[in-house]
Amino acid sequence: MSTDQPSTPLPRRAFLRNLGVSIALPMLSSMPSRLLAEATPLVKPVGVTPDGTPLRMAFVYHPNGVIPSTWYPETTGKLDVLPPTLEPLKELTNSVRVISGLNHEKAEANGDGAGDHARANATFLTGMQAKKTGGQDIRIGTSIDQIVARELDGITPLSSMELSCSGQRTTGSCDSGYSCAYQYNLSWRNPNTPNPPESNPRAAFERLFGDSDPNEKRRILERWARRQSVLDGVRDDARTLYRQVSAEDRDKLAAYLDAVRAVEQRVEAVSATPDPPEHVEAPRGIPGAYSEYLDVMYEMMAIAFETDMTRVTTFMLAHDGSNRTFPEIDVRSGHHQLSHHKNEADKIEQLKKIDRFYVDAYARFLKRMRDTKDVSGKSLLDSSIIVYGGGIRDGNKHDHGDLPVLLSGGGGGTIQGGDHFDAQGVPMCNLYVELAQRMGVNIDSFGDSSGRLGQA
Amino acid sequence: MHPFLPKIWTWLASMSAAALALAPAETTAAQDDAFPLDEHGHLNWSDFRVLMAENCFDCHGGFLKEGGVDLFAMREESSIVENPELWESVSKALRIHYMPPADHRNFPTHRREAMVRTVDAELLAAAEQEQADHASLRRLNRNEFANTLRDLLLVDYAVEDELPPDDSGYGFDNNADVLPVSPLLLEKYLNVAADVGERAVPLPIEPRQVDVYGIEMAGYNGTNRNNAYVVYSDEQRSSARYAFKHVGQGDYEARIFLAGQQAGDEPCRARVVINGKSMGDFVVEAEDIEDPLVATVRFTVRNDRPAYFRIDLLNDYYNKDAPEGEPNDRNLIVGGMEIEGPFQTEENLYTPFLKRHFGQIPNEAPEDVLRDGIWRFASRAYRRPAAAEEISSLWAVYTEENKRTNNPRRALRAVVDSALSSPNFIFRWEPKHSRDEFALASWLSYFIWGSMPDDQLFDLAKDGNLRANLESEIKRMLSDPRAKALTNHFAAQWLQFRDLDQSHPDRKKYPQFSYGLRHSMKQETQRFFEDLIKKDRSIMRVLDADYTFANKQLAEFYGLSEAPEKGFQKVSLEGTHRRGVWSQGSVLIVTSHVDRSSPVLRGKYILENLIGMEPPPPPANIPSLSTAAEQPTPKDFRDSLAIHRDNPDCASCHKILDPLGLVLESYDGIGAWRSSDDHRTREVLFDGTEIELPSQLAEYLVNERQDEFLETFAEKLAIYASGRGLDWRDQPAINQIVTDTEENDFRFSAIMTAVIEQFGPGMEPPPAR
Repeated sequence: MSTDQPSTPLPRRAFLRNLGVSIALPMLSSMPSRLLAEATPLVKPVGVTPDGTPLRMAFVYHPNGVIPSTWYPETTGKLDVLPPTLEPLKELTNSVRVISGLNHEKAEANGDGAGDHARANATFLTGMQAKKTGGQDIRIGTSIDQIVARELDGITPLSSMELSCSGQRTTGSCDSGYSCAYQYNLSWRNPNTPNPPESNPRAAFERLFGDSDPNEKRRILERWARRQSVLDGVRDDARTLYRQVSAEDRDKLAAYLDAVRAVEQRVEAVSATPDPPEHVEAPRGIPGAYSEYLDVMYEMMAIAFETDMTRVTTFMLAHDGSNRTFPEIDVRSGHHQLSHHKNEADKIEQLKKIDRFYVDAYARFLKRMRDTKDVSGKSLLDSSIIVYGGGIRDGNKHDHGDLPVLLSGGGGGTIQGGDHFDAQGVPMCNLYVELAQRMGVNIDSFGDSSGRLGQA
Repeated sequence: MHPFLPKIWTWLASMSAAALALAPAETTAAQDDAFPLDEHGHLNWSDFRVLMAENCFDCHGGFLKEGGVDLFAMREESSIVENPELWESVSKALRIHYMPPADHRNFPTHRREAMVRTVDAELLAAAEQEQADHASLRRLNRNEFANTLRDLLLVDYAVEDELPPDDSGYGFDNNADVLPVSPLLLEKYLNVAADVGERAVPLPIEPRQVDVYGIEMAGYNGTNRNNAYVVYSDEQRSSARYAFKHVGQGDYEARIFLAGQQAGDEPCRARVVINGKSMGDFVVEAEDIEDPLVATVRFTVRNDRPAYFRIDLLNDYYNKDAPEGEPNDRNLIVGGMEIEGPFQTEENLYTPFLKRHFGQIPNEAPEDVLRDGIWRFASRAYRRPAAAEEISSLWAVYTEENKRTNNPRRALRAVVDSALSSPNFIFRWEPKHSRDEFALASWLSYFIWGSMPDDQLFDLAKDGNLRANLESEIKRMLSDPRAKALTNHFAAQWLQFRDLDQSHPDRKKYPQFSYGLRHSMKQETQRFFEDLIKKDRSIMRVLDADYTFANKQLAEFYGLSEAPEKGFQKVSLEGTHRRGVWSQGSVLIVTSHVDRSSPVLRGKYILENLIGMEPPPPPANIPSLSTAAEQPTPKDFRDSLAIHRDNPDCASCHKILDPLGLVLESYDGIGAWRSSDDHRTREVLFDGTEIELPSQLAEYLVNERQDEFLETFAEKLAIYASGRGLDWRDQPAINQIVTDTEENDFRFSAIMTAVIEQFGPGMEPPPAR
């Protein structure tokens, strides 16, 4: 790594492309789509539609369960009338399939006692039972988004992106003896390393596009230009330390080295950071109004897809157990506190408002996705697979069966919407197996799956 | 005859004759000699089995194994040391009166205590044979990383908010096992480290312009209008405010766009203040923010902290009686500002970091000076002398980057980045049995300061004199301003006042509440704890202090007889029932729901955080209790809580939790004293103590629960210091800490010293007394 030009990033990207390795292609729409098709010829393509254009996958987490009576349609089959909570999705009905009858059995206590909120979060994308611990030896399972994301390593600049509107932590242990790691993370890189989500939209934006100030952007590119030699030395340090520490500590060093490798992979991609789409302005921070906060985080997801910075994202609207208030819709008690409604009518009404508030924001996001054209000429929504749902059915009961799940997006022409499908009590993971296969990742089982949900 | 006796008799038939002989005495339970104790107050195993048969086996006896606990299977005395985790929980269940269930059997306290003593003694004896195993590699958490960057690179630049928050384990966010390194986290750590590193090794910066919108300058009491901010009043809290995070030291020029919503007989006047210093007053005649007055100020920054802007309205005017149509409200409109700079000199580029390690600007330094400087820097970064191969590796980075960029400063930046990316920097490695005093220095300084050791600690460690001077070093460290980390990180998590920032009491229900009040409450608890440390007071004051720290607002809220005129002062709580930390507003708010107080949460708080006697978490799927009616009377509320204690499923825990919390019902959901006596009833605690007023609770805690409190305090400190959860094997160490603390008048420095002696790396446990 030596040129006599100060701080010029290496033209590594062009070099790699000649080797047939596809990396960041800023603003796909400016590129002929065959480039992509050529770029991934050697193995079964991952994250592409049947036409060879990018296919995206997203998971959105809805906290504290729902009021079932206004969430689930009364009948299965074609959706003529939407249930009240889902009404905001009206214009989008044909891109949404309501799925009922999916279970997360591993979120049940199964002998571990209290802690349904922590488990709901932890199990949602892993399908595994969280090891009950306040800290020592946290363990769950690799999450489905990461199973797909690791196949996309090196194909998009970021293999995945994690977002959350639950940035602040409370003190103490989180939920009945479970470490907070279970409650604030959806995405798990491996069974004991969560991928902590980004909760500041500005930071998420800068991770995608660099700083919006050109001076700052240059400074940061220089930093990445020196990073390769910077990281060359640390492996030796890790090896020396590795020889001296205990087995448990070695796991930590292994995770560290894995992270070093991931950062190194970014060295090439960052020098090719695309400009953000013209219609997008860098967010300035966390908006005060929650609806705006949700919108700006959804926007980060949309532009990450639009620019093909990543094809896999997870977004935790709020962690399960969140006690957020909603002054915008005049809900002044905490969500979690309300969710134990004990069938009191006014609490149920407020909870319906909260559910609807979240679905409203989701509908705005889907519309944004629908109204943006992809390189394929179809909409971003058509070439996406989006799972919206939560790990608790009814906040009053903390049950983990018949979960609220919406499957949205066209999946590149592989998913039909506009109906209500009852899976009749199979593991949620069956859906994940199916969706991973649609993404081109060949897995037969995942978590506690008992097969694949063919009709999804 | 007792209904359960036949079963016991069946079982007794298998026992030794000696035990049988004692059995008839069971019918006269009050006679102590039925179960004689040895000189240590312990039961013999046969008697212990008999007591278990009477009190435990109905539910935990082979046929029924409630909670998976089968005590019948514990046939030999050795089964205690063979199943330490189980017996630890048995001991606790007995100690907190959780078992046997209250409705089940009347179990005399002296026998309960004898059983607890017997189990604890066995566990203790076993623990003394074992060393608690634990991992020793700990990633620096968010605040440790930020503090270390500041102290290592001598750059005063706050970066904590740019780092991801850490998860916590065992109540603290510095727990080794929940501090993983993920790719996103590493990238952020590296970026933040590079940010600070670039300030330590600056390059000349081209002046540039930064645009700030008025809405980014909002004060506490004003409003946003389009992109502008409107200052309503001439109180400082209303002023427009902005923290300018500049890119580097030098001179700057700010151009501030101002207009006035004019009223009264003079135009708006505004003052621009930077870092508390007035930069000039401006008469703002402009009325349209599209055609504003441009107020230009020039300022110099000589450090890396943000420059704090404040724009005041000097002459507020409001006339509610003004005639219809005449403007009656004068406000200042801040449209935004442009800041241009930095305009730099050589001096701005010669930082304390460069001075310290290289003594000259890098472009002129010869190779040996650079190498030595890198060694000095790396030895501080790794918190021990850097090894030769580590320096070669950093030197390779230097030469490679110097070749690539032809710029020694850029090459040094790469060296700094490289050291700060190393696992030797990102992780603390302080093995328990290290004889090396560098490990101890590092452990101590992260414990007390949340940051790396200072020069004195390094020097003592280098000469092997740290252990010898431990006590004086601890005192020195506790009196250093950096010891605030103990308040802001240890105490704020232990006593949970960190959560106050996320508490949003319902303003309709509590008109007295404001964020200003909430902030005062947080400061109250912080100041209380800082004072405890600084004055080296007895830690018992956490339970019973008859003083606190208040400003005028808080003193009035508490109804104190003295109210400080200005700022915070130590004030007496005489004449009130508030005592200690647990009746401070901060605690009372975090243990309340947004619209009501919660006796259950308050009871849990005291049990869990102060005396370590919390019952297990509730079973799954139990809805929490809520108010019975729209406007519940205190009686409704107590009645609904009584359901808890009548229902056997709930009672075993709630008879422990609720009475303590009900004593605190004298305070509402934001901590105000309730004057109505409806909220006060005589409560019977789980151990039979009767209490009516919060001040009596303080007496109870101090007189009856001193050991439990000391033990809990010691455990929390040890968890925080060692970054791991404790178990039964740590009990001898905890006991020793309690003894040492008692012998030293409960002083804060005493418990700190004792924790360090027991848990610090390379500390030989002092001989038991």
